[in-house]
Amino acid sequence: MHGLAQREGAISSHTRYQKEIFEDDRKNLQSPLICYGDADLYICFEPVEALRRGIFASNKTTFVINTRTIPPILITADLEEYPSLEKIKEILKGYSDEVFFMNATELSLEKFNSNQQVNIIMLGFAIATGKIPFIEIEHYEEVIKEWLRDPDDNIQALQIGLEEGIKIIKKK
Amino acid sequence: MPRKDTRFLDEQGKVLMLGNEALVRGCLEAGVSYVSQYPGTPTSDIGEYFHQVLRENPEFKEYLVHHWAVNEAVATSACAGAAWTGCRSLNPMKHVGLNVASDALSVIALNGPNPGGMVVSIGSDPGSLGSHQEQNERFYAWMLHLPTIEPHTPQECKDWIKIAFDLSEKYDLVFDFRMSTRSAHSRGFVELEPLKKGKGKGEFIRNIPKFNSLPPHAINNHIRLYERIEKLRAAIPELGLNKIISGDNKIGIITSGMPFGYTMEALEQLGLNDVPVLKLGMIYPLNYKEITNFIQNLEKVIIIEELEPFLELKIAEIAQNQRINVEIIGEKFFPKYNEFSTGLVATCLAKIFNKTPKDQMIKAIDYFNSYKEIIPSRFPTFCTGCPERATLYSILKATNSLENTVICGDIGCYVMSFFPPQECSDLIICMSGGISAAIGMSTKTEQQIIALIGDSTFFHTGMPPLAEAVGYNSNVLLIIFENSWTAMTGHQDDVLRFLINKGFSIEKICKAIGVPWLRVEDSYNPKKLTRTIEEALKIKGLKVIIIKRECALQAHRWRMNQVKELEVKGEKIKEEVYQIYNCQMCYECARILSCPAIRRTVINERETMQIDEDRCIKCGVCFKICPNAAIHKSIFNALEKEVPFREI
Amino acid sequence: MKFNETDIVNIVITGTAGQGVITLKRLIEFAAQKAGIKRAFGSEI
Repeated sequence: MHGLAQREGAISSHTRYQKEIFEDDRKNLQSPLICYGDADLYICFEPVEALRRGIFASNKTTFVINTRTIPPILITADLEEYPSLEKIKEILKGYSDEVFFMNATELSLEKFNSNQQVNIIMLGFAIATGKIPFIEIEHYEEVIKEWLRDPDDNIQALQIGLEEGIKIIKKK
Repeated sequence: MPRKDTRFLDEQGKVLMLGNEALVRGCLEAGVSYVSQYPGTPTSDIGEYFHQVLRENPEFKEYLVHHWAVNEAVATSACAGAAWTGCRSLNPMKHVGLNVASDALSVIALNGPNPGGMVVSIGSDPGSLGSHQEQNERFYAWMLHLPTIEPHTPQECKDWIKIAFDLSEKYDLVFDFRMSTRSAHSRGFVELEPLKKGKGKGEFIRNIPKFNSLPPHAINNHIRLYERIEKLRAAIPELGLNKIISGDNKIGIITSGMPFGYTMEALEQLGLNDVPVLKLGMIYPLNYKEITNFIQNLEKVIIIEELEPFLELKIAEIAQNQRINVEIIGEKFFPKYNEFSTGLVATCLAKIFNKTPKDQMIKAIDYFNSYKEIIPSRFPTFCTGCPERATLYSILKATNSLENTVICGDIGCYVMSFFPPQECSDLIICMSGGISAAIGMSTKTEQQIIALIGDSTFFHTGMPPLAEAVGYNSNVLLIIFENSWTAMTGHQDDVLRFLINKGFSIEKICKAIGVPWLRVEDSYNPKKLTRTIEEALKIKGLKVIIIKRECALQAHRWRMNQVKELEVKGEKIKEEVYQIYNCQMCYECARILSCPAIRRTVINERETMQIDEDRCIKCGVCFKICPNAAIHKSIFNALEKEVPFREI
Repeated sequence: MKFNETDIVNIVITGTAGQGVITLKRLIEFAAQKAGIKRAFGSEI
């Protein structure tokens, strides 16, 4: 995807699936977009981006959020304000109790000396919530081996994200 | 190593594909042998997938050609040319591209694509997700008689593009395969069918009446066009493109494409599982009997379609002509702008059926509205090190922040000039609309006028208005960004690249066309560029400054690859690092240059700007413009090999 | 929370350009295919 949708801009995507389908197609998955309030899980690589697309969340939503901020240019120019992490947390807690933070960028830099593994660490974190059902770790590992560069690092990143995620979620 | 992507090659199986990927797969199953397009969201990646197939499987070159055209009108005529030798040709373009192509298309549709078949795949963009406007291009289907097929899922994208080619050939009609940004970039399962080789070579067979729509043949071809459309119209019920989801409710729905999905999920949410739905796969022409059968026993029909009413008008016309007493509603309840969603459709249907939407949804909307004000904006912006951003900096400096100055913007990455904090574009029209508007404006105002244009846009339609500006010696400063790529759409390996490799030069063109005052500058030298702009603005008449500097994304990629290769060979590389000490917080780098690699932070309880080392590409512009000399350049391995940005 | 096999699972992934949002979405979908998921339909913008 190129054009105006990219270039340092905000990015979001909707992932939707159904393990088994009803005979009556009216009850099945028909649209690539989630309805307002209907998200089971948010995976957020940047804190304020959780709020920007917040309209799909409700009391059934679990949030996993990378704490590392990427300030938009108007924040650097001091023409707008970036809300504090406490404020973001407070707003998201208004949806549900299941709001979890992890500094995945720092973890990636620490373990891999690169921020390339942030998204896979976040995947591990997300899996730890139990909100991506019917898919086993082995399935992810197979896909990582088939499609990603540095599969060993990425499989390790998945484990790290999962372990750290379980710790964070248990603490609550 | 990552596995080879075989989704375009396998003879069978079930794979996950985006709508655009499935469309390409369908073309390979349909034996398409010529594709021509100018890149534009959401259709650019169609060409990229064809290129991937050709790059990875050179044997396809025997029968498949893909061209990146110089503009949409050229692409459309090129596709007609190929079809007229008996081939199947595909012509993808974005919705506004159709405005450029329509001149050619109006004649090609009249003549008909036979002996071959031709499909124009239009990428519409409700919600303006990747375009400068959300034009409802469906009305071209009426005007030019383009039968229009609109898919919903990737499976339909693949299966139906094959049907479109079969019908185009059978009925001698140019088909519109209508995608949208959403359908193009949604992913789902696709069941594959065997590939079919296209025609390697064809032959043009002379047929003067068919291919010369001038009197007396123009009217005959017009008559023939109606005959072809009517034959197709009669065949629609047997094509399997339209389907009914039955129900006993006396209120029914007619919809198509992506809104069908939102409609079905909205009905489920509202517990309206008895509402009959007619899903149209072909939205033009409509079969009168098929529509009549669906609406005649209903009290009310709701038409759910994005943008201005199109189906609604045609269906109301059918109801009236057939004397059917049914209320037809659509635009009264649904917006005529922006993209739809399940939530929006549910809200509108709830009003019509007097139902209450799910509590979960109402709460989600209310709660979001309660805090959305505090979300900081995140505009798209120029990449780190972009030569266009640096040029805007010089424009702002040379004009004392645009005092008495009008900037006529244009389409390309520099379309982003209007975003804050630079806000360096006063108007945007279309490809080459900026220089054109400047010509007229300059006759009516004494303000300084600066027009912006990139190299790909210059090539697309920019040369004619430049010639006119030379002719009238318009009092305009034209700044041409020669970054050597069609950057905004993803750096396609296009005509611009071929010409650059053959020594094409905008400078030579400007000289040949007779530009009276011409300079070539580099925006990585911002102070010199600022002086040149100041000088240009003092002169009456046409001035052109060419900014010659490669797109930073590509330049940085190239440089990093060079460095990697040398390092593998064991060589040490000279390295520069930019850092900020003693920042005076004057905001020159953050508000006027506004580089995204610079962030505001607090170090030792003192506010300072800081350069993110992993994002900085070392263009050095901030170092050169800092008024307080707070940005420092350090050199490591000073005596080792230097890898500078490449010259273009 | 326990999911039924016929439930539609809804996941929003957000971030900024270049962070790997789309890569993660594809990874989950490709893994879902390996897990024998019957229907997947998601948007990348």
